[in-house]
Amino acid sequence: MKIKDILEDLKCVTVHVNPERDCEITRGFTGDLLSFVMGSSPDGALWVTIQNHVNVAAVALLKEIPLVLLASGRSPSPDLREQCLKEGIALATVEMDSFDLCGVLHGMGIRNRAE
Amino acid sequence: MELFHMDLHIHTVLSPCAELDMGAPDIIRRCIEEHVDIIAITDHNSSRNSRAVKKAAEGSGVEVICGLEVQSAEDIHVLCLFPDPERAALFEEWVKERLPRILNRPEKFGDQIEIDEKNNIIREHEILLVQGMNATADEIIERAAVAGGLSILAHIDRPVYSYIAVLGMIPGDLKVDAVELSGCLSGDEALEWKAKTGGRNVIRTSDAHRLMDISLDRTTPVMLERPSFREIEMAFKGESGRKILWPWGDLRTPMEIYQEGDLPMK
Repeated sequence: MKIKDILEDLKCVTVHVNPERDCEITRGFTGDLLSFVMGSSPDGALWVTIQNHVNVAAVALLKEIPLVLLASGRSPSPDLREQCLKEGIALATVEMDSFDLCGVLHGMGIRNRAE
Repeated sequence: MELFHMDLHIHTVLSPCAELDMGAPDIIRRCIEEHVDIIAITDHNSSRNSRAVKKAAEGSGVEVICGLEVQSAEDIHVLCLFPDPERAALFEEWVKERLPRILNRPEKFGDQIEIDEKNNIIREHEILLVQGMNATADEIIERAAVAGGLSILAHIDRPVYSYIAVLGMIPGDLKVDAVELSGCLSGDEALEWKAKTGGRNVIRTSDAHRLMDISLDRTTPVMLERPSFREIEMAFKGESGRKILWPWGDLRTPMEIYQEGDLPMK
């Protein structure tokens, strides 16, 4: 799915940074411990997290993550928003918690493993 | 300048996860046996017992720094050390106001006992101390500096409660005075972690939860004029010849050690 379509289909979303280029996403990952995400996330996946520290942008850049979804209504720290803007990483807050959000994304066909 | 051995991370019976042998005079007795010159008392989110240990140390030759091991909103542990018990207590008030009002369940988590210098029980601490406060690690570090204290990222080598595990890396501009590596690491493991510290001061501690954890081979050697908070602060800043030495054996050649005027490592 395209990033814009994912953001449109999700309910109660606040977009902080729009995607620089609207790429296709097929894979997803969830995690809040950044060293774990760095070690385990597939490249190019969308990322569901409640972590709103500026280092999220650095990890996203490292794993070529084009879209970060902050679950449970968490707002990004101002420096995270700024960094995502600078690096062209799409960033949005979703009211749902990580569990429900991953369920919805799974329903859209996003998977952790490549099929 | 003299060589001292310091251990800046020791718990007491106030920490629910610590053994009941971590009484005030007991810790000092163990430090004397192990030739540990300087310690910091750092219970979880509280400095209440550090005053008791400091009193118990009077006349013993062991220098006690008052502090606490603060747990951030992201579950990162930061050691915060202060020049005196009063400033530690003031900082603790700031922490306390931001701790969730969850009560300790001693049968589940362990006892949280406030003691005096003779191990007399003053009271049991009601609010659970092992929980994240409502402030980020970065905010805690900033606040400790404003309050006249030093901050140290605790056990960055661990898979939990560590800045690196939670936040992936240490930002270059993070104004933390030092990072702590676990006393149980080998020299090679410690060197690997050192590479991730961005050239910051590295200390080794015991993170003692029971008396037998306190030992000379889990300390950090430091060159100071005298054992005091101010001197440690100067060593962290590399001022006037004060310095933190690499705990896992000196990486300098004997000639460099000689030229820099340091005593050979014990």
